[in-house]
Parts: sequence; structure tokens; C-alpha cells
Amino acid sequence: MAANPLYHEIILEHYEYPRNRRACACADATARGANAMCGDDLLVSLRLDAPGGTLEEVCWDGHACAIGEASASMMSEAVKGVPSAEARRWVNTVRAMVTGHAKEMAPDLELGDLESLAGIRQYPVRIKCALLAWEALDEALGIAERKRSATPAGT
Amino acid sequence: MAVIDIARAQQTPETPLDVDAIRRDFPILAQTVNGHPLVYLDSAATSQKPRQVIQALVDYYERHNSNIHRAAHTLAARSTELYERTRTRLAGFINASGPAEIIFTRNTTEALNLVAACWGGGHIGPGDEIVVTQMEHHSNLVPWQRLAEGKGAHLKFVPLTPTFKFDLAAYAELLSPRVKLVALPHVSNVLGTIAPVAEVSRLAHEVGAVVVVDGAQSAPHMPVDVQALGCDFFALSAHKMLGPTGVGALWGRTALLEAMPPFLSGGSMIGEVQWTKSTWAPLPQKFEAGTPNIADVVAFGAAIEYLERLGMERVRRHEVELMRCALGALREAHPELTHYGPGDLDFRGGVLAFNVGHGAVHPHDVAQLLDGQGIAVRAGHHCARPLHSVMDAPSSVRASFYVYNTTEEVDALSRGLDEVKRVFRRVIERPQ
Repeated sequence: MAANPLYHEIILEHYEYPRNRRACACADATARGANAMCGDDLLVSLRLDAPGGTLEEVCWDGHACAIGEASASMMSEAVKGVPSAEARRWVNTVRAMVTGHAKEMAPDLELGDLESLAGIRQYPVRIKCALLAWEALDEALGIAERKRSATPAGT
Repeated sequence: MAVIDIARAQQTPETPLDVDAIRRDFPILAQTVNGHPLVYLDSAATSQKPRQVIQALVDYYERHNSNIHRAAHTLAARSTELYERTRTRLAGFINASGPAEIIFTRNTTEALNLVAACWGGGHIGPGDEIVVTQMEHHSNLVPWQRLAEGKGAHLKFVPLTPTFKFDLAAYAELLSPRVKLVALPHVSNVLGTIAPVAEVSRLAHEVGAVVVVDGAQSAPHMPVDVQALGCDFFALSAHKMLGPTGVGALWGRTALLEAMPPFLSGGSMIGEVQWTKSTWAPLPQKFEAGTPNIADVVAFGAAIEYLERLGMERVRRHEVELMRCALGALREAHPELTHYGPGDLDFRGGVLAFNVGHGAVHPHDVAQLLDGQGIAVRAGHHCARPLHSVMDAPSSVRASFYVYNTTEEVDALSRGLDEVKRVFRRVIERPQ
């Protein structure tokens, strides 16, 4: 039987062996991605390193569908170790990819496993699932950046 | 009409439904979805509509359309007559004492809100108790939460037994003179549990409480006799019983309805209007402010007529047989499923909620893979989130049956779940 067009092997592999799924110790910011209609609920936590604003730690926990959890797992791999401004570009690129706005994707980002989520755009009701963790990351980045700018330099 | 009468004369409650003939009445079923014949197993969300109902809508707009209870012209009289005919038909369908006890609303939700506002507003006070069950749809929970909060009253919950039945003994323990209102679903929209409404009503009346029944999942699927149920209010939705969306109904006992203030106010519901005060129209107009959803009420009449022609005993028997077939087939072919709901079919409507691999496969993923095979089921918490905490699952998959479903479609569901098992085999087989 043919492979399922939505449930790509890469998605299933991340669902089965999720990366960075744990409660994040000493996080700078945590945000929630929830879908009240289906009961999905993810927490995304991150920690920025003090001088450069790089995402030192990104982790997530909670419950979602295979698409939602695989996307969270791939997200944690993609943005770990990148500067927060670049993490924002990742958010925008993935958002553009799954909503079918390819022109708005950053051409220099190496999508890797995330490319397996491109097919979601053909399933409009599942776009929210794929973006659940990414929207939470976006919010957590905002919280962490506001905290940094509120803290005087050198402290 | 004569043909129908002969058919009815020959049919007994034991005569199986002629599902092939029924399916020919539902144009929507004759289509393919994602390359497969549509298998519609989501009637608990909304039923499909037979061409008789669709034609009633078209006829109304093409031949009769006019506002009701107003003008003296011929079309107005005809529209009024058609609208009121549905009220009379529904009163008979649920054995109300008379048509004036039937209030048309938008849906079950609005009917329940009407009771909460107009009866609850005048009868619930600080320290009073409202008893509901653990298996409520949000529609029969949130209005009572708001009422209790506004009045300083308390909500009490009737638990389920370990086999997902209504726990009558625990319910009896909750009753006291503080309890002013008991609200419950006749049939759970997730578990299919049939509540013992007659016994619930009898015990509630012993402590002076009124009983409000959410009949959204029973009126479409089994004979309903509000006198035998002994309840005080009964709410239902047309769109779950072959009728159009946008129409529901509240049945209430005359004495209670007469003593209640209006819900919405304005046109149609008044007796005499002066500059600073007004009086109200008699029942049922007192509760039907403004121009109602005339066309859909008229078409709802055609839906009730269709169900009456089938016979509600036969509808119920058909669904029991589909459930027997489904539970048997799925238990054998799919041991990876966790089922929710009473196994005893005398206490079970045609609703089949389950999870795959103890929740290892998310309900949305199950529903997506089934949809890929043309099978429509619902995934989520089905507007019953607190119930899912009792089920120990954040959400579930729900297949639900109606008059047009066949045992072949049960087989299609089972084959559809084979594909789910194939795609998610590794997570299903992983030790928990």
C-alpha cells in the first residue's frame, strides 16, 4: 500500500521519538499553544544566553496530534542554538510554508525534516496543528526579548 | 398518501428499516469523498437531510413565503398554518399535552438557556443546588454554571458508574430539599449512555426539584414520550433529526411556562403595548419574539413526518443492531481500541466513542486517515470536555449512526481503522 500523503515517514519518526520533549529547567520564557476545540495543549520553553540572545535551550511538553507533536519536535531542533532574531525568521518561514505562501519563505534556511510538513497546506484544518508549537515559540520569544530589554546591560 | 398508509399498516416495530430505500431519499449520500464512497458516521453532530425536507424548504420559498401571525392575506395565512402545523406535529411526536407547550428556538442550546434564564432566574437563590451529570454536553452545563454563579447557588455532579451508566444510587444521595433543578442528557453525545429519566424525574419531584432534559441525542433516535419521562422541560434540535439547521424546540409543562417571564422581548410576543409597559401574549408566542425561522420550522415538519413514517421503534432497533454489529466487529478486528460507553445496548444509543492504542494515536490523526477513505467521524472532545477527564482521555474519536447507515459501513469503518493501524503501527505496539 502507498505511503500516506500526509503522514510522511519523517513526521511519524518525530512523533515516535520526539526531540527535546521535557520540562525546561530555568527557562526565561514559557508560552502555551492550545487548541480548545480538540484539547491539544503544548508548552514551549526557552532560555536565551546573556550576551548574544541565542536560544541556548528550547524544549516543549504536552499533548497534541502527530502533526502537532512532530512539528514541535522539529522546531526544537531547528531553532536551538540560533539567535532569537533568526528564530523569528524560522517561525515566519514555517508559517509561510504550511499556509502555502512559499514566496514569503526565507530562501537561506535549510528546512531539513521540516520540509515534510509542506504537504499540510493541502489540509486546511490541520494547519493550526502544525503551527501550534511555532505560535507558542513566537510568543515565548516575545516574552524573553521583553525581559532582556527590561534588564539593564551588564547585570 | 394511500401507499404510505398501506405500508404503515403492514409495518410493525419488528420490521427492519428498508435502508436501501431510505438512502435513495438522501441525495448527499450518493457521492465519493477522496475517491471513496462517502460513509457518513457523524450524525450525532448533524444528520443528513432527506429530499422531502429539502423539497419542503424549496416549496415554502417558491409558493408560500410570507410572515406569520400578522397579515390577513392568503400567503400569510398559509405560512402561519404551515408553521403551526409543525408545532402540532412535534407536540404529538413527543406526546406534549398540547401545541402551546412547544416553543421554537434556534437549537437545543437556546432552549436550555431559555430555561436557565426564565425559570432559573426566578427560582434559584443563594445556597440552592443544581444537579447535573458528569456526561453533559457544554450546552447543558455552561448555562447552569452561569446561573449558579449569578445566584450564589452550587452545582453538584451525578457520577457515572464504572460501566459508564448513570449512577442512580449516587444521584439519590445528592438529592435534598436544597436541590431546585436537575439537568441531564437523555442520551450522552459521547458515551451514548441512556439516562433513566423517568426514575430521575420521580426522585427529583420528591424533593420539589424540576427536571430539565437535553434531548438533542434522544429525540432523533428513539420514541420520546415526555409524559412517561415525567420531566418538566425537554429540549431538542431539528438538525440532528433530519431537519434543517437553525431550529430547535423547548417543551415545558404549561403551568411552568405560564409562570415564567419572557426570554427575548419585542414583536410577536406581546399582548398590549403602551408607552411605558406591556403585557405578554399567551403561550407559546410569549417565548417567540420577532420573526422566527419560518421556512426551517416548516421543513422541520417534513422531517418529523419522515421519522413518524419510519416509526421511532424501528429507528431505535436499527441503531441497536448497528451498534451490536460495530462493537462485535471492532472488538474482534481492533483490540487496539479503547471503547467508552455502556456495553449493555439497552442503555446505549448509536454513539461509538473510542481511542486507538490507549490514546497513542491522536483522535485527529485517526479522523484524518478515515477521511482519506471517505469515512466521516468526529474527533475531539465533542463539546464535553469535563466528561473526557472522567474518561481519562483528552479527546476521543466518535462514530455515530442513523437511519441511513448500513452494516457495510460498519465494515468500512473497521477497514478504515486497518489503515490507521498500518500507519501508526509502531506507536500502537510500543509498550505504554
